[in-house]
Amino acid sequence: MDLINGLANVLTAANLLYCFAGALLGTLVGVLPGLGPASTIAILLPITMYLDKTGSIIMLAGIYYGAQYGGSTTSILVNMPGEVSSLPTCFDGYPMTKDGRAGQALWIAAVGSFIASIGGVVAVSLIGPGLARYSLKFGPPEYCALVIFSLTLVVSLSGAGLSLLRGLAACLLGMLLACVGIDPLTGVPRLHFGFTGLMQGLDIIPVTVGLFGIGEILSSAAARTGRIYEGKLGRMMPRGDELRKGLKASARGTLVGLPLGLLPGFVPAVSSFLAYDLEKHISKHPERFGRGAIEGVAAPEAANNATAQTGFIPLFAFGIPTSASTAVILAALMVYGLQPGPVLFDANKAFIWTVIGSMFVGNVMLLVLNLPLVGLWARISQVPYKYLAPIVLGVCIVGAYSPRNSMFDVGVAILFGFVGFLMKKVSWPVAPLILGFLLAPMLETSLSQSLNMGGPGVFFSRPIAATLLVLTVVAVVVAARLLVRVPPQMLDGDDGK
Amino acid sequence: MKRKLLIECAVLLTIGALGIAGGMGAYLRSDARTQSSLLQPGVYVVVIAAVLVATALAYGLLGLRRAGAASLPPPTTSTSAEDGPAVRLVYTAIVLYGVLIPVLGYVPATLLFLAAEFWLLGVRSWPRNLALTLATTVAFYVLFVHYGEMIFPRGVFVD
Repeated sequence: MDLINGLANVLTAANLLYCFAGALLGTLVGVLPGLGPASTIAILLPITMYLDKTGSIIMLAGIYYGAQYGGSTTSILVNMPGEVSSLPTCFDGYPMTKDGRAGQALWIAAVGSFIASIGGVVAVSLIGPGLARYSLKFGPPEYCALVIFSLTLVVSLSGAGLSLLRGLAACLLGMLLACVGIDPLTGVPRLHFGFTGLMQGLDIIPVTVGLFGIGEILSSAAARTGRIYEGKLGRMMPRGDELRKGLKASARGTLVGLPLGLLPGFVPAVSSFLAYDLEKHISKHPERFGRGAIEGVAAPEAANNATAQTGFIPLFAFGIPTSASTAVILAALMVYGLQPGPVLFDANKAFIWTVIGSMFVGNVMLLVLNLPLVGLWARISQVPYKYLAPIVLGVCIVGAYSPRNSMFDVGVAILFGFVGFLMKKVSWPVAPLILGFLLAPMLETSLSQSLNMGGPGVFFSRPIAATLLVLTVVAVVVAARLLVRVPPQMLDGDDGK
Repeated sequence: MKRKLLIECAVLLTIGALGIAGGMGAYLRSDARTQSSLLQPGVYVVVIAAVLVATALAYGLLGLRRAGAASLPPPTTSTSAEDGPAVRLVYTAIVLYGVLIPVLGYVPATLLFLAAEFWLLGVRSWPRNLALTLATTVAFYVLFVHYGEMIFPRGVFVD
């Protein structure tokens, strides 16, 4: 019933427009290499403060899941992934194009993405409210254990050896930056070093705009454009055995992506690679992979969309972001004063169900945008950066300034732009930093309250908290085993992309 | 590679040391009689900063041990070595823009910034550059100042 009401709310002109804008922008950033959903959401977040909150979240969410659709277009047509999560799509998508089957590859990528996304939204509708109600059983020790679980998983997915230490250091850096300002529990100023500007703390918006927006543009400033695809797309819909194989692979990719979306750190880029790897393993003819196997396009595209969609479950139910993009969406919820958890599903019922309803509508819009207009997207992907970058930089500066009308925040964004650029240049992951920044206040408050409830022993006297701490250890071991199958460059796949 | 590693370690150690100093400062400044929490002010910060220092040391030691070996992942950068000066100029223009907004005001600073950025990024034809700069500035003005009702600095000459 709530979902039906939500769907009815989406069907107003304003909400449909926001939904369309999200789908359109998502596809656009998906096809444009260099500009990803996290950076786009971060850049647009301050501007959406002047819009209706439901419409804004509908649009920002649309950008995130829309980008997963768009990323496949350039992977298939010009062997250039628009998103890191679409890198495995290149392996078989581009050979299909060279084979004259570009249309079929694009069709199965769009339809597979649609199947997975709808599966993901159904999971959000079914699991989200239940999980949010379950979170009523969560007190400070449980929240503290949940944050530790999330941060540990995000760090452990940074890689092994030096990469793992980089992830840990980035996460700690984010946590330390979140401490700048006033101690939330005691009111004592800290880490301001005599600068009055720092006493008010670092706002999430300039930090994300800098790290993802300016940092991303600096990294991509010198990117050159690839050639425009001039060939024919061929028949769009695959037939017979190819269609069956593609749809089955889409279903398997969906099943791989759905549960991974619930876990922090399992960004769509990781699940798409795991789905590709699974297809190759179960195939009777693994030698076909890399030469234009339709399963090699269908499975990763379905997996990354399913993961992107189910990432909203822990975000809405617990306020735990699983990727950089969902972290920025959490920042948006915070800016609007919306507290994730049971309150979101009870006190803000109309809001949350409208947003969930918009995901069904948005995915239908994306299917329409990505099938008939695919040629247009392929051409747009070639827009030179020299025209886009200055405009995006100008919007970044306005975005950093607008929340508090503060030139100090502009300075913070410019500084973090350089930090983001340097981190990318020396292969440091940005996602653990932003997740550490966002979750550190929750960790500090819940840790302090837990200690006051009964000292460190309280974590082991409460079953949910103890289970989460045990799961933290299990997850680290499982993540380490899964990481062996994933190339290191895929692990940082949501850092602005 | 060694130099890069040492710089990374030095940056992390400096931030960690600043964190410890800042946390200790908060702890010493607080009045113990008003504190009821077991997590005293500054303790949380000191613990995070201390773990960061330990991580930096472990990173440095492990990195030095592996230096020269193939185990160090190669940097995956979007910009090649020859793009360095271009990126530096683009960043300098952003910094100058941040400085010029309060001095000249939002609109004149934006005109200068956009013209410089378009030129630096490859729009070398001045008529095209000017047209793009003017169109973008007008669009920003209409969107953010007119419709968004944002109040930007008007510059020292107007104020």
